[in-house]
Amino acid sequence: MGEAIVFTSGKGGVGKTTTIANIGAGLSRLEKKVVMLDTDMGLRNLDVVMGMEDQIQYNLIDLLESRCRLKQALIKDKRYPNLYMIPAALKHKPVREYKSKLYSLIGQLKQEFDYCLIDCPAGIEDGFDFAVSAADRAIIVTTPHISAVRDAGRVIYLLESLRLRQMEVIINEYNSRMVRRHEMMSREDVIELLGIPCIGVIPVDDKIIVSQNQGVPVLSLRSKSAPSFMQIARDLDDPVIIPIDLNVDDPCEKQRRICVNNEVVSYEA
Amino acid sequence: MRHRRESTGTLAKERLKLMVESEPLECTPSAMVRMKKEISEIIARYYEIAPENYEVKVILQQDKKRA
Repeated sequence: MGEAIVFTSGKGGVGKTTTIANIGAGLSRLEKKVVMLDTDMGLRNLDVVMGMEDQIQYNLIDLLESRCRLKQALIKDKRYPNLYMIPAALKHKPVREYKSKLYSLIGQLKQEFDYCLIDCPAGIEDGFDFAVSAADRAIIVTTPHISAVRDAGRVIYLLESLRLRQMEVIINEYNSRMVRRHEMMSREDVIELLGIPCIGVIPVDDKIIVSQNQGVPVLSLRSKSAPSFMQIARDLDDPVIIPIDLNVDDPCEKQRRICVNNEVVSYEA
Repeated sequence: MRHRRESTGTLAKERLKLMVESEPLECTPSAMVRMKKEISEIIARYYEIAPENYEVKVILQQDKKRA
């Protein structure tokens, strides 16, 4: 039985779609079967980021309205094995009436896939409600901007009042140099403010624009942020212990740090 | 030969242009390019005219434009 994880933020432009695309690719590298769902009706973007815009025949609404079969709506990634995407509809539709249908679709997807990653629209209106309704777990994406952290806090509050319990934060566009100079909120500051564990920090990276220009995950390029996305994929898949192979050049080994129960622990080599 | 290879910024602009143009036609970018090419081939049977001297435009009726 797979897990449905919604990626949400409240604020727009913090990197939900980028994060989904790269964690999806990362999980695929870990030989997991992954489906990514774009629920941002009218403003779909996951297809563009993945370079799949030329393969869209049917979308999520077509599927929920039974105008096509699941196989027809699934777009298979060309580079990453076992990575699939279902695009959002281009026309803006009131999604409220589709909530129960989405619930049964995700139930069906979880039978077939290890992970169902749901890309949530910005805002906290009906689209948010729709995207969150069928998730088992939420990843809140934020940046160190005060506005983004504030909105993340609001979203966590809303999710707590729903039945959703497991929540983690990802901090995107992190600049350690600014943090060292105390000119940016640190990872610890954000954890303290939001009161939920942090599952990863993504450094600011120009390569994200370059990779999206080409429609490939940044994981496919040599870049600063790629190891962070890969690490999050590993932690998602095995939250207790991350295996460390001492014979290979593992970034964890270099840092002499491992992640146990989402806490980063230093160790002596 | 740096200027010969297309930069990713240019690639992004081209992808977007095709997306914006094909969306109101409710087809994929490559389907639109194919359709236009086929229409051009028909036009070439009737006119002796260079491709840069005419334009193929397809408009979907019945308010099918983007919502």
